[in-house]
Amino acid sequence: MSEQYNPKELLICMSARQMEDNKAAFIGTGIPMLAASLAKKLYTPNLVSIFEFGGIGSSLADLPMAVGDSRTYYRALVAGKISDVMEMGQRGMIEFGFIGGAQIDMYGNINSTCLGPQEKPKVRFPGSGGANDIGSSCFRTIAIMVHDKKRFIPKVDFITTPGYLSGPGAREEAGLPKNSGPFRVITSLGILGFDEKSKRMKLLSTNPGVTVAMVQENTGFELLLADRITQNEPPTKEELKVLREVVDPQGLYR
Amino acid sequence: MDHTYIGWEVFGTSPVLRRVAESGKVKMTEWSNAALSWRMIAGAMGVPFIPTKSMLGSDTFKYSAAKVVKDPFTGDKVCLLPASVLDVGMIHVHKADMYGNCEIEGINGFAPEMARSSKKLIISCEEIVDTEYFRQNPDRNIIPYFLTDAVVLAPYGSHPGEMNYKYWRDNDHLKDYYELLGTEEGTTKYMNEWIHGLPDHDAYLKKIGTSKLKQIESEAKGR
Repeated sequence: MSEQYNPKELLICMSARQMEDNKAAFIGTGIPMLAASLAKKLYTPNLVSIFEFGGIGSSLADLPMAVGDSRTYYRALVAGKISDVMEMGQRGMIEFGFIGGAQIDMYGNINSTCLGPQEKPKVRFPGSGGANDIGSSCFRTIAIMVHDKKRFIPKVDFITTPGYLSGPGAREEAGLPKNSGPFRVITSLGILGFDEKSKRMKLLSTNPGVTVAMVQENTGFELLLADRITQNEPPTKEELKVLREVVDPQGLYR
Repeated sequence: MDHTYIGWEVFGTSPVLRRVAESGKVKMTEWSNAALSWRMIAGAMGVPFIPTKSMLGSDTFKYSAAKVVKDPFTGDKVCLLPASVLDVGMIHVHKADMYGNCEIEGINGFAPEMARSSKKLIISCEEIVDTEYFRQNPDRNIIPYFLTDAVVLAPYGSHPGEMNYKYWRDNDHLKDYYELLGTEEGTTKYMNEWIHGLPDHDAYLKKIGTSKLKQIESEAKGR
């Protein structure tokens, strides 16, 4: 019998499995931090976490509460500054970026700025922070999101972070670096990628108990489907134990 | 208002700035984190703008004051960020001398470029040291004194935020603070209790209490 877990824990575990060892990755605030901390303890001890305020390669012994707090550079390689890490990113030295968002469209454009018009929004969110820079520069940007029809929509209210914009060639046309852009979207329902040619979002795998039809029903645009859609393993006992007892023992993010 | 992020990360969006933005009364000009830092670097360099690849193609760009031009060398599109020159900059540092030479330990965000792009610079510090400290450790001085206009001694001046290596954030205080900021009345209540109602910084520290200050000091991870 598998252990009980909540939707957030599922997202964290799925995201942790997407981290790659020996790679540099920008870690955004919230779930990416938990996923990086969990991955560092279980799967990718040599992950070089990069936090946008200047921390490079923290041991992640304690869970950061902000991308500029001291845990982001505890026993790290560098305690630097924003421009330093962002310049390295812009130069193409940071392969991965993990970020969150409130809305996403089929080309992976992400909104974390507002609902409704920017001048007088219905709901105002924090805004870009480092997200725009990460999504502009990284070769593989990975978005982590709750999956429903309100969030996966045909047109985002505001493109905070550029995905493939209006489709194939649009990033290059806008002047963004070649071969950069969205790579994966890890959601409460499954994992999605992007079709190489059309740049449209494509379902790769589903989470435990989730069918392909359920994913499509909860998506506001037509999804492409991988030839073979796999089932993701549920969070393991070990993942949940380490997450609850070592990564976030105080339940700050629960 | 030029801004990049009006969030409290783990807590959510800043309730005060959210009210301001949703009222439509203040024009929110969007930037990325890198863009704000680079704008200050342009200001610090004394040049009118700086070219970047960030912001291109996005609505963050559309609602900023940046421009896109053709790079005269390659013909590629490039984003130009206008230099940021601040009327007043305020930075809290670990150590300063009476003239305004400064040391920050740990990451420093965009403090060096901010110091260099401000017309007037106010420094607050945890500790005032003798200039001899910087004479012996010039590599630790990130702000030469001639950039600084005023130095204020304010131990625990980062509270309820943290100070690298010295004290951790006061999470209890931040939580209460964030909740109160949820309404106008709560915000006024907080301001009256913790700012307007107190005569000075010493009174603020006394109100927080020695045991809390000791606690956050013990929670800071040392070197």
